[in-house]
Amino acid sequence: MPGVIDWWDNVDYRERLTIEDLMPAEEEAMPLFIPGEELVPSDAMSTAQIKALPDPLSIIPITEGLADTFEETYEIVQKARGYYVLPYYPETYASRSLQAADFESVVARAKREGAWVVPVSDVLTWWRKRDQVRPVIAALGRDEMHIDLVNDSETPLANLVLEIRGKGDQYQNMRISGGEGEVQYIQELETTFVFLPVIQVGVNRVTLTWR
Amino acid sequence: MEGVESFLDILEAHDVPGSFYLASSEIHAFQELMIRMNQLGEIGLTAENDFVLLGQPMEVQRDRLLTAREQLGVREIHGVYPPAGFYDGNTIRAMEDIGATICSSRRSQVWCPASSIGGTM
Repeated sequence: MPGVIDWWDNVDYRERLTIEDLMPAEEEAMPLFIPGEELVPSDAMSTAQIKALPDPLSIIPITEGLADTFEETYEIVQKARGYYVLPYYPETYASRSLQAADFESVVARAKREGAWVVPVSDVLTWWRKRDQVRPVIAALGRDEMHIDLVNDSETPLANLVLEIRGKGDQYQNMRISGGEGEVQYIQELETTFVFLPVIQVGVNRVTLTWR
Repeated sequence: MEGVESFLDILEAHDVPGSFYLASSEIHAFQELMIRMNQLGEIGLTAENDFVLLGQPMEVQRDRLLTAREQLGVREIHGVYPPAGFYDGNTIRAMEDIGATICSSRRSQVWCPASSIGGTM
């Protein structure tokens, strides 16, 4: 029946404390030590420095009216690799109107191009899960990077994709040397994608190397 | 309802889901459409009609949302898309009062974590 929405079990946007909020302030992490590589830039970042880093998974809001048509807006969002909330008013647009054709064209294109097309509740579920994982660079060496993925939720999360943006050999040759997962570099996007099958509750260490 | 049916036809033809926000006084007489929408995605809450909630006292806004819930046969309210996307502090308070914590705004489409979330189809 209408209105029986089961997704609320997974979605709750009320502010709530996390374990981190209740813990005393973190102490500075130990610097990475690699024997024989004294020049490795391995100074650990302080908690304040880590928190000041830009969110690598940040969302770019696209405001309505950015483009004249649904399809143009879709293209802008696609280039920004963002999300698109498509507002459609069937009582306003006649079934054979330009808007209806525009809408159908975008829907078909999104499906064809493999866009993730879902109801709002699925996005909210994703949003909340995404919000519960914090990537922290624990240590960075000349040819190695240690990333702690902190899962603040109460359950393991599956199929997380970590995006590391940058160009050059370092990113193209990146592979996992510690932890489970697969790495793929997409040249056009200048991004290394790290596909992680499961992120357990708490801290998950992933080590990437490009040596 | 011709526009609505052809809209649903498009979604169905391309196997695309939607989130449907309905003015309850208009839609509650069309049970088949509601069932079809529910099968194609999910149904959210707007109000009992298209008049904006913005600017009305909290009690009025709350009663309108409760009326909509009753007309739609909704047991629990999770998300609200205020008519035309306009809302104010009283809308948020009314939502909290009835247990809804997601507000969809067509105007901003900016996602905020606590109570103001953008989204509609």
